[in-house]
Amino acid sequence: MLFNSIDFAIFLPIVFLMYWFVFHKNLKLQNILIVVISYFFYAWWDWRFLSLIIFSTLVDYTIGLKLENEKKQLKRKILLWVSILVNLGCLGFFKYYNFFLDNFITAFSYFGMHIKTNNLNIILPIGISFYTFQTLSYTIDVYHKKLKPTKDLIVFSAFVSFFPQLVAGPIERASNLLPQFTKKRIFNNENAIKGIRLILWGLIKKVVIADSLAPTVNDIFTNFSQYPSSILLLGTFFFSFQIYCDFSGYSMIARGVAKLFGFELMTNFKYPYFSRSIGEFWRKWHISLTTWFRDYLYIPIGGSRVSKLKTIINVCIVFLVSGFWHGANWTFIAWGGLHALLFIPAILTTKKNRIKDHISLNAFKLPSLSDSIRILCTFCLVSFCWIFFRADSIDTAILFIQKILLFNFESINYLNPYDNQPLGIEYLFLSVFILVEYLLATKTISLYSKNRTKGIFIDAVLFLIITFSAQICSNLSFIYFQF
Amino acid sequence: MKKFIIYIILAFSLYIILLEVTTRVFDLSEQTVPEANLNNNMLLKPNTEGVWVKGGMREIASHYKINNQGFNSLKDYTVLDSNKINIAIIGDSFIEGFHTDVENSIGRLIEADTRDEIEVHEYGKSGGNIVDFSLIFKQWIKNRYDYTFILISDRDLDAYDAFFMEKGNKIPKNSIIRKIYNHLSSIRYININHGLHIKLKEIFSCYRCSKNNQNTNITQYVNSTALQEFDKSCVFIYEKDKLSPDIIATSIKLPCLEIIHQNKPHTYGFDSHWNLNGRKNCAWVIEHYIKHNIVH
Repeated sequence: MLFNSIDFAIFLPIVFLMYWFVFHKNLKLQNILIVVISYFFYAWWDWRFLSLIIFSTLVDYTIGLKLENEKKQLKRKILLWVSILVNLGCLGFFKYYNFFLDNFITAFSYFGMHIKTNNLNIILPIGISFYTFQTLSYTIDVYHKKLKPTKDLIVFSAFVSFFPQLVAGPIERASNLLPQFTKKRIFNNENAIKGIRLILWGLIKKVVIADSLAPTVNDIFTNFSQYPSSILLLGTFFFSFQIYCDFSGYSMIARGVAKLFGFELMTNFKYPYFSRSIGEFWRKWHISLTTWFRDYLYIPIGGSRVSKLKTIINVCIVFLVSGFWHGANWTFIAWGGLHALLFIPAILTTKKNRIKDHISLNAFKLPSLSDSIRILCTFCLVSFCWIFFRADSIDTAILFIQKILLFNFESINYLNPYDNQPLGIEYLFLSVFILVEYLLATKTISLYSKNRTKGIFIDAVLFLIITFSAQICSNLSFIYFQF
Repeated sequence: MKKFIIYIILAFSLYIILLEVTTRVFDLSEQTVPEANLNNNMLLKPNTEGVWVKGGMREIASHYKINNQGFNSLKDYTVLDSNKINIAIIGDSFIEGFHTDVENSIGRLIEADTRDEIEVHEYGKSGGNIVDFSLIFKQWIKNRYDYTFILISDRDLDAYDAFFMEKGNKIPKNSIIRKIYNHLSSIRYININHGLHIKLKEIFSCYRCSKNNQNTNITQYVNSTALQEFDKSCVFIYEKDKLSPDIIATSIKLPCLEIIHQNKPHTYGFDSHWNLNGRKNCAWVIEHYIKHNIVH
């Protein structure tokens, strides 16, 4: 079920009313309801893969309990590895089986060995990368005794399958989300109103910005050989905004929906396109995944408390794995690798030279010239990397870049394939969006309204804009669902 | 909770008011084209005229005019000129043609191209299927026209029940809900552009069944009884991806013409009906066939 569908618009109020009016007296019943509606939410897409979530839940629940009772370090380690292997095994089979098979065949063919195998027709279960990492973090935290395992299977099932963040995150830590299921939830009016605003702003990002850019991006990346460099650059920048609005929009809706049910999820994006360096960008982009890799991969392999060379290697490992996490294609690995290369200068600079996360503004509420240049450069570098992320193959990405480097800035009247009209409304939407994001990033305005009347008006207007922008048949899926 | 519910009610009410005002001021909402029971057929109300609107931002706004027979056309289909080649075109919404101005319908394009040597009457009604087409043919066309062109697709051929012909008694009465719907521009806007009615029907009746039906493009069943109603004056026209070659080879005994996309038909993301280019393609195929037949 998509957040931007009428199905969800009907589903949400029904479950909200059931949750607060029918099941509100009993915490256990509320948790059971969450599990049931989360499974229903997931089954709406494909009920068969529910078994995978249930399996993953049971494995990590059991291992969590066993880890608590087990005193011998060796056995504890075995239990941890069982969890890691089962979870990554499922992920590996569904997501990477065909990729590895194809690459093995290609590798052997270089040595003149031609292996005949059949690719399996495997459907990638939606959200598998997200909930696998979430359950893994639980087991690892229990193993390191940072977290006490829960004995309540319903609570644990709710933690794994909590529907707002089940299919595309944020990847929550057990230490943050699990205790929220064990405390009685009291309806908070302010939080619920904030939740509504988050949902609406998330939908604006998804429906108004990402979806309106999607046809142009798809067309330019598909037919790039027909277009001059100027159009390819346009497609690249449009994709940067499309993917940001698509994913951060989803995360905002997830947070908003969670707030309606009395939960707090972590902030996944902090205006990353106003970053002045790649390091800052990664502190603001997909924060839940970045911190996951930091805590469960980067630090265990040594982090930055080793030599500079080892740190660089560690960073490269993390970025390559992060790229691979996104999908079974060399393009994602190349994307990760490029970010690793761009990240290296941040390792080499001393802590003193590192820039702060807050942009200082002058009297006109504008950043300094040097900050502006840095923001622009970082955005261009990130956008360049997105070419690999968006392209179907490495070859396509290279050809796309080669075409850009021809510097053919021929003026052509590009028509949006969606309505066969010149781009106009898209520029308008994007300009207004960038301005609002800037004002939000610099804290000149706030996403939430203190004045209730003003809040009602803003929410109504946001909903109106969504209604005018969304179209039947164009409620596109979120890009990150495929990961 | 009470405060929150009041907040939601107020915000939603304000939203509806703003939507109503905006859709009225900018004329974003389609006026419902009224249907009428004409000889027990569920057709469009004769002699109505207006602008048909579709798209979240009025991307399509086309002039329509309903003739005396209940079809969208500038002409009434009463008298045929024996000095001209008279042709009829039957089909669903593509022939009905609300998506471009009625002045640019396939018939008018053919007439303009042939300097009125050909007279074209279009019998199109959205939702029509092969049963409807055969009934239209029997009622208005048989033995009157020199040629009859029928636009078909796989999905039209597997129907065994007419959608609008002989269904005049099914025209909904002007209930209070319908009156409200007709008077509220906001609700009409949401319904047309976000498929509210279709979605609610899907969810509350038989979600899975309708979903499966939507996904079925290629049918295995062909209503051959309905197909047999057409005589030798008839020619089927089709688009390549919408009619299976197997059906053409095995079930259709009359000539079949593929609509070649000489002009690129730009369709909207929210509406896959032909625009003017699509109509030009269709007109060209028909004209070409007639010219070729006359020469031979």
